[in-house]
Amino acid sequence: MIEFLGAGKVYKSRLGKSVRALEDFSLRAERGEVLGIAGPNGAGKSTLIAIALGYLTPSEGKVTLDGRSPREFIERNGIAYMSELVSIPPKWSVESAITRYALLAGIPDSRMSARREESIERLGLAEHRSKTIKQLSKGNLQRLGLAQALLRDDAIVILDEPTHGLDPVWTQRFRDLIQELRAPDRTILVASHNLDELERVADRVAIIDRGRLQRIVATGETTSRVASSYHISVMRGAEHIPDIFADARDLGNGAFEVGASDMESLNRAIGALIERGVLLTAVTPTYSSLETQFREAVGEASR
Amino acid sequence: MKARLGRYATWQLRDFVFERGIPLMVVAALLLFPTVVAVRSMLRGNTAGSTEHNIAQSGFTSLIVGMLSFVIILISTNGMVHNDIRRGYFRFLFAKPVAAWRFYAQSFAVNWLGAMLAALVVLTAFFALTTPFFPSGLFPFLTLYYMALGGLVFFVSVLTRLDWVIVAAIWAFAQILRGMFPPASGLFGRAVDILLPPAHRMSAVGEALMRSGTTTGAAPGDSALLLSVLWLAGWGLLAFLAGLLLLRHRPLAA
Repeated sequence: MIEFLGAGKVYKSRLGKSVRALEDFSLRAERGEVLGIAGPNGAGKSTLIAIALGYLTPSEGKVTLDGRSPREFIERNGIAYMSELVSIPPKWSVESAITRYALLAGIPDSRMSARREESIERLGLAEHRSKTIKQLSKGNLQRLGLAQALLRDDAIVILDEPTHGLDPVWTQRFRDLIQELRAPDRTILVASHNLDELERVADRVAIIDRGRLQRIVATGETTSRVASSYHISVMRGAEHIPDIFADARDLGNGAFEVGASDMESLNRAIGALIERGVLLTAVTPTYSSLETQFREAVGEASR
Repeated sequence: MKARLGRYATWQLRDFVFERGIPLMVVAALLLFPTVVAVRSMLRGNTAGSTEHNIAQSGFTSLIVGMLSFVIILISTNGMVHNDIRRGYFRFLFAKPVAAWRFYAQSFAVNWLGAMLAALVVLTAFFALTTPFFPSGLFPFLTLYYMALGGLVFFVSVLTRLDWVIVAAIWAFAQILRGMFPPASGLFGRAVDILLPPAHRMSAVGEALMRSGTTTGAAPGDSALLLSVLWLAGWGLLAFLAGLLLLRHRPLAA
């Protein structure tokens, strides 16, 4: 369990200027939960994670991992952590990096080889094993970052922008990995800009902006919520759209943006279009429900 | 599962060899080449065993060993902590069940071993090319020097970058201030003697240890020498321990 209790952080420059990065942040990520952290650039996500790892101390409040201070917990148990920027010495090879991290993770000799191979295979790094870090592409480096994080079955997993630089295939693979990692006694925290990804993998998403927790969204709720606007694409009968949707905005090439107050009225309007012989090819939310909530939360914060 | 830090020492030694050992050999070769030529030409006129020969030999030995030791130790210890912090390598290392202070304490010990091996190679080459004389007190001297100078570099490395530049400047500044204000000159001189790094004691201890076994070298019961050794070791150890204490209690990304 990861718990933030009124955590705040103020950075002070040597000239005495101070910048508040985090303010009165309280949140608890429970065991068995995947908690997403979303926020725009500079919202305080990185500070939050650095505090959870004990790499920074909060100026106010406290943070605990299973009831202990972060450093105390990590030095006793270790955690699975992957940072947004994967920093590994450039001259290390992929294989030696995994071996080194496995030694520090306490993997015994009897399991070292099997665990290393499993980790390399799992993240598709077999063909790159003898390459040095500086020879790796951004995506492969990101996968190595994930591989070192998942060397042990840690009770706490913290992933900061884990799919940054991954191609669509590995982005999907990452989502599968998160599902595999789900366990009743494991807490997983994922910070990401990618709201679609968070909506798919997390149970709850904490939206932060300007260092404050703006709202917590349960992703189960977002799938049942109606989006505020939709894109409708038609192959035939585009002239009927403004009759049914008074606020329709023509985007060209048979695409329109229309408003919807609730799911029933949207379905009724679509039914009316079909009755008039309109041939629809797609109806998609303009923003995902989480994205809508995110925009509202961040918009509210900036007002 | 606790980190297998002891096993990790082999990787730290490997890093020393490739990241510090090779540059160290290059710098040492560049320093040694002109020195060896000069020493050989100066010793050529003297008969081995003669007073002139011994004076020249011991003078050069102290000079070269002192100079090389300074360079070897600075290369062996610079950026030991701060490089990992500045480049972000600490993030993955210390997400594992390992305390930063233990990791870097081991690094300090491994780099000492590396420095000794490097010194062995470099100074063996020097003495083989100049005069078949290998001072018996060399390794105690190097260890003491490593503790005193390396301990200070370690401490500064925990705090900031450019540690070796800062320490070299402090080391030189201490020498200059001590020359201007000797301990006997008054309170300020006494304060300078105690507070600044004991660089001046290093050369005196070096001379004595390098000539140990000879009539002018270190003799058992030499209390002034013992005090200098303790002073140097204590000063370095204090700086090293202060560095470890900071690593234990100060967040790494601060």
